[in-house]
Parts: sequence; C-alpha cells; structure tokens
Amino acid sequence: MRSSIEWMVGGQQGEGVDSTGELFAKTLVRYGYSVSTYKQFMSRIKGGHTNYKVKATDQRNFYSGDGIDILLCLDKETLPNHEGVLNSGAVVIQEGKEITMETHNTTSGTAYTIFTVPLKQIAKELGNPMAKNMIALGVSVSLLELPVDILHNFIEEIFAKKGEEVISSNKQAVLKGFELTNEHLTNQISELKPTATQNHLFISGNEATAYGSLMAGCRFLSAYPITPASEIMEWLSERLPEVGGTVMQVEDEIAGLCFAIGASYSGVRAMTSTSGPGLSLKTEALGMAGMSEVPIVIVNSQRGGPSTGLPTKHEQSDIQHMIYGTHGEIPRIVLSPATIEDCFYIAAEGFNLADIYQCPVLIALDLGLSMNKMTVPSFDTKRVAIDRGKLLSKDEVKEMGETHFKRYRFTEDGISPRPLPGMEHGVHTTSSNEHDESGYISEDPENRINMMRKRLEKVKHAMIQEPYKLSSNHAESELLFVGMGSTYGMIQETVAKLNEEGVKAAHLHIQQLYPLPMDELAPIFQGKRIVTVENNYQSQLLQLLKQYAPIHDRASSINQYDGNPFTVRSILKQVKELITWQH
Amino acid sequence: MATLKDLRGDQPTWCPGCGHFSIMAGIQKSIIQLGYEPHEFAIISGIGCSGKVSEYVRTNGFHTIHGRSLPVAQGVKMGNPNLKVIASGGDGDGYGIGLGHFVHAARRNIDMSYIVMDNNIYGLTKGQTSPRSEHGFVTKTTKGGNKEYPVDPVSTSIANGATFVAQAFAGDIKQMTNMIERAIEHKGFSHVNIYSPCVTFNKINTYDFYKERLTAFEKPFETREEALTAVRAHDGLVTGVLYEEKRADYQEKLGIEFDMQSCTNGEMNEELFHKFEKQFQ
Repeated sequence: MRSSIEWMVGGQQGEGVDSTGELFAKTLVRYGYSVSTYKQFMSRIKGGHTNYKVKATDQRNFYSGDGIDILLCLDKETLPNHEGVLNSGAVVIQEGKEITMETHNTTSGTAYTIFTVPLKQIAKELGNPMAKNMIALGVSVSLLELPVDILHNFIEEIFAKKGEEVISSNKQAVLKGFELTNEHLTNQISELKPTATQNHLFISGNEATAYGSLMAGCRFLSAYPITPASEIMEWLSERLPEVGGTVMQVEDEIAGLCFAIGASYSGVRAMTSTSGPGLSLKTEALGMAGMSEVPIVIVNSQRGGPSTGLPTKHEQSDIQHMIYGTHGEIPRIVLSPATIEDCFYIAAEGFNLADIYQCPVLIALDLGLSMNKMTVPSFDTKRVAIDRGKLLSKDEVKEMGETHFKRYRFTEDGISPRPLPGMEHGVHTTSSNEHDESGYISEDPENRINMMRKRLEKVKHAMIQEPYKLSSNHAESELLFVGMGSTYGMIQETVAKLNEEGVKAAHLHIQQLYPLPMDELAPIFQGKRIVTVENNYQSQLLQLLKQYAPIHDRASSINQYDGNPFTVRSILKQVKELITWQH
Repeated sequence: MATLKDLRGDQPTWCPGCGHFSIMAGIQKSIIQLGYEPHEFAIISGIGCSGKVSEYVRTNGFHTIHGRSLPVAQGVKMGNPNLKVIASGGDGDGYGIGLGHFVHAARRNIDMSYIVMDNNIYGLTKGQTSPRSEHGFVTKTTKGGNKEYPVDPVSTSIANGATFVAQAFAGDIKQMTNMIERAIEHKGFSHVNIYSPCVTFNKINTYDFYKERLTAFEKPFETREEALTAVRAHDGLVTGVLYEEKRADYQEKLGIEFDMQSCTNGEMNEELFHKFEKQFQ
C-alpha cells in the first residue's frame, strides 16, 4: 500500500501528452489526492519532446516531485531523458512489437521494470487507433488499484459530444489496460491508499489569477497573446461577457496596457496580462499609470529571457524590471504569489491596492506557477472584500460642486479623492506631465517637490494580508532559505529534508516584493545565514534584500537559469556545495 | 447650455498664429453647438504642442504619452460607453510613433473621434522633420532635404476601414467646425485630419500654401475607391468629408450588456463564485 505516486507521460508534441497527463492527474484528484503537476513543452506546435509530470500524495503537496514511479513513454526520447530520476521499483511502459517484461538498472544502480506493449496494435484491434494512450492510462491506474469508474466517468464527460462509439472504445481501451496489468504486472501492483475526498479545485496559477481578478470585480482585460500568460486572457475572454465585461486582444503589448489604463480611468477595474517581452514594451505606459495615478493591475508571468529568450521555459528574471522598470520614479506595488491558492487572493488584493493607492500593481507570476495545475482548497470568498479606496460616487462629486475638480489635491496620506469622467462637477484633468493639483502642467520647483513626495510616499504602508510565508521553525534555525514564486514547494521539501538531517534550516517566501515589508523582515533576518533560491543568474532577489537589510556578510544565493524549475535534488546539491565551501 | 467660458481650461501656450488655436475653438464650438456639457466629454491627447489641447479645453482630459492617445481613448470608451470621446494629437504623435494604433483603430471602429493637428513638422522639439514633411523638406535633422515621402493619413484610414474620414484646414474655421461636429456625431470611428500651420518652424506649409492649393469636396464619395482616387489626384490637398459609412460599431458588435463600472465596496459575489467554481472540481 502506498500513499503517494509520481507519474510521468512523455512523447512528441501533438501526441496527446497533455490530455493524457491531465486525465491521469484529474483521476487522482477525484480519488481525493493532493496533486501537483509540471508540463514541459517547446515553442512549436507539433513535434519535439514534451512531458507531463504528476505527483499525488494523501497530504497536501506543493511540488510535482523529483522522481518517477510510473513512466509512460510515447516516444523514444522519454526513457533516456528521464531514466536518471526513476525511483526504485519504477515501471516504464513503452510501445513495442510484442509484450515483454525486462528488469533494468539505472547507471546509479536503481532497479526498474520495462513493460513493452504493442499499444498501437491493440488500439487498432479495438477499432480506435486514437485510444492507445487510454490503454496506457488503464495500465497506470490499475497499477495503483484505483477503481475503473473514475476513468470511465471522465471518458463519458470528455467524449460526450463524440458519441457512444468513441466512449465505448475508449472505455474498452482502459479495461484492456487493466487486463494487461493483471496478466503481466501483478508483482508491480501497489494499491494507492484511499483517502477522504475534499472540496478541492484542480486549477493552474493563470486560471486562479484570472478567477480572483473576476471575483474582485475586474471587468476589462486588454492584452496581446504571449506564453506563458495567454491563458489568463483566454479564461476571462469566455467569462467576462457573462458579467458585462470583456477581453480585448489588441494590436500590441503597448496597447494592451494603454487600453486597460483608459478603461480604469473610466472607473472600471481593469488589467493586462503579459510576460517579460511584453512588460518591456509596456514600461513607458507603466510610468504613465504611476505619474497620472490611474489604478491598474499588470500580471507578468515570467519566462526565460532576455529578449525572446526561452519562450516556453521557466525563469524568475524580471524581479528588478518589475520593481525598477520605467524612466523616472513612480509609486508601484509588486506582489508575488507563492502558490496557486495565493494567486486567487493576491489578484483580488492587487485590485484593492491599485484602487486604494491609485498606482500600478504588478503581480509577478512565473511559468512554473502560471501553467501548471495543482489541487487547492476551494477559495474563501470572505477573505478579501472589495475596497475601491477614494473613488467618489456621483453624489459625492456633485456635493463638492467644483468647476474644475482638483484631481491631484494634496492630502495627508498623499492619496487624492477620485471622480470619474462623466460625473457632473467631476470634470478633471489627468496627466502624464508633471502637474499641479488641478492636473495642469506645472514646472514650478516647489510644486514638483510636493508632487514627487505625494506620489512616492503614498505607497509606503501598502501591505497585503500575507506579505510573506515563514516556516514555524525559524526561531531556532541558523540557515534561512528565501524564495519567491513557484519555488515554494521545492524549498519547503528541501528544508524538511535538511531538518531531517539535523541542519537547522527555515523557509521564508516573500509575497510582497515592493514595498518590501522590512519592519517585519528585519527581525526575521537577524543573526541568520541567508540563502536565496532563485531562477536567475544575477541573484535579483538577493540584491533586493541587500538593498534594505544589512546581510551582506552572511548572504548568498542558489541559482538555476537553465529554463527548468529547481528540483529538491538540485537545491540540495548546491546547498551542500555552499556549506562545504564555507567551512 | 454650456458656453465658451465653460469650455475654457488652462491658458494656452501655443505661439501666436498657431493653427491649433482654431482647432481648439472648433472643438469647443462643436461641443456647444451640439448641446453637450463639458462633463460628458473626455479628450485624450498625446504628446507635442497638440497634446496640450486636453488641458486647454475644459472637459475631462487625459494628457497621455507620445503616440498612445488612441489606445487610451479606446479604453476610455470601452470603460464608459456613455462618454463622448475624442483622441487628439499631432502628425508626429499619430502618424509617426503612434501609426500602428491608428490603423487598428480605423479597422476596429469604436465609437469615438480622432482629431489630428497636422502641421507637417515636429514643433515642440523645435523644428525637426515629421512623417508628414514633404520630400525634400529641409529641417535640423534633414539638412540635405527629407529623403522620405510623407505618410498619407486620410488614405490610410479610408483603406483600413474607418467609417468616417474627413480633412479640414485650420484657416477655414467654419468648414472645420462642421467636420468636427459631424465626426463627433458619427457612430463609429471618425478621423479628421486638420492642416494646422506651424507659424514658427514650418515656412513651407503656411496658411497661404493651403489657401492656394486646397480643393473642397461638398459631399462624401460613394465608395472608398473613389475617395482614394480623389485624394491621390489632388496630392492629399483636399478638404471635406471624404468617406462615410453606417456600420455597427465595435461595442454594438460585441453584443454584451456593458456593466463594467458597477464594482462597489463589499464582499465578493458568492453566487458568481460558485458558478465558475464547478469547472475546476
């Protein structure tokens, strides 16, 4: 009996690798397991090796895992690419002329079984050559002694439109897989312990961000398609019209942000979604939002840069761009959800902060977080309430009775009450030029100083509900691992492993990158050896921390910038090098 | 009813004699004559001398960045379909750095007006060549004469599907105001290119230059092809509404019940949440 499983399907792009992976993952979700996934893919439509990794555990997990228990090979590259990470006793299922069973050892001596099956041939005999992946899924599921019903129910849902014949042949394919296991793999069967099903959602970071935005009242998104952010616009594109809003796919990345700024100026909760190359193009308009004090939410799902870089690969190299990008100095808030669950709440809070502080809010995602699905407890709609800040109502504006409304009036907290165009007595000027309280161009030095202070100081106290996550053992730890974004799960598991080995390590994951909550972070850093774990070359997170905390003599970083996310193994390797180097 | 005084904003800083004064007056008069109030309008401007119009006309104004008045203005209209929206800028702003947006705005057909103050030169940066400067035009950046040929703005919008295209001359306020009024009342994307002499830096395209050369057309051409032919035959030196077409605008075509601004303080909508939650279960 087992309580976790690591599974992978690999094949050529366009072979149904994604759908096969998703079906397996969802089966385990319905079985009540906590599932994390990761899909590898290339910047082309067909061809090229791709894979879908699934890890399921009976306890909540945040990482798709280092190893593989069952490997489904739909192409010749899958096995050599992943042999090195097979767990002891792993089963490899591959296509071949006839049914054979062989035991192999990896170069490091791990024993595994290769089960060769003529999947194509059997599918053909069943009258549906497309169903070969279903046979392999049947083998996978039966190796875990899962009930066949879950998979059959999915088949009915997925192929509902394709008719009874397709449903029946796919169901038979699954049963055939069960048969194969019972005939040839009885020794490899290990039941996955049943667990109570919970009200969990299986959702990606992009979907959770889009969902949270919609729930926070966002009704307009303008953007340009870009990997790995496109799903945000795709998801909202289908749903916003149902609630009186819309998505616009506009001519370029610049328009993507400018349209949203225009809609926000009209009073709409508006956003744009992009990735690094798009953010580069949006940077001037980002400055406009900061200068003209128009609320806006910009989601930046980071990918491998610079320039076109590695368009379908993972990286966290826009941290400094998001915090410092644009000429001149503007107020802004940069948030970075640690998990898919946080994407929902932070997106919602992002809209609040944009309205409250009347400035751009950047939400940093990364490819790992954006495109992969995970089980999360269903979201709590009471956790974030909508707060539109100093947005004035029609009646309030009328009551003030101004002829030309002072949009940028000086106030104690630096935030000016905001009327909307169209409101009687609300006529006002919004400007990207330096301006006086009325919005008119001003080059007066004293006004300039006051306006700069107004804008740049207003965001100082901005704070989300959970600006960071800190492991409970931090007080007694010596080593503090610091991360942001999708490294959360890997760092958490690394720290657990190190703790088992007796290393006093703790984990801090920062969700509010700017303004950094230094009042809270400073005591946490006190006396600790700091190690950032980040997917970039220049240790951008570490540089940021160094700017605010006196940790220069005891801080270093673990970096990976090969386009792939960390594994627990790759972090541990670098940790050990670091510790050896130090002594 | 609004008066000219109601529509006066900040004190203009344009050079005496600048064509932009007339265009500003044309916009103000149009708003008054059409019976609108200042708060019903939003003028979204780009950067350059022309960009200041959003401050000089007292309506809601958004002085944006170089070349981006159109995407911001279209966003404003998307956010509040009840607003009357004018985007405005110069030839450098609209046909140089912002040209990409112009073509797409024309084919998208959102209900708004785009008024371009075309002076064939970069004025605010003190006299460099513009995408509208004539071939051979000598400026500080083209000392040996401009080697390029100018952008043809009205042909561009006609060819790319704009549903209202007009051209006017700041020296003929009556005709120009009429063009602006018709553009404002047109349902869909309306483009008005207005020749607006720069008295300080452009000694070629002067008031006299236009007075001598412009041909006025009394009514729009029946087809886009005829309009294009006439523009070409006169080397672009034409005035009048060149093309007009009735077509459902972008927002009508979306066919949604716009309800974007109603987001107010309070808890998330639980019912809505559960509706979308199902997909992920």
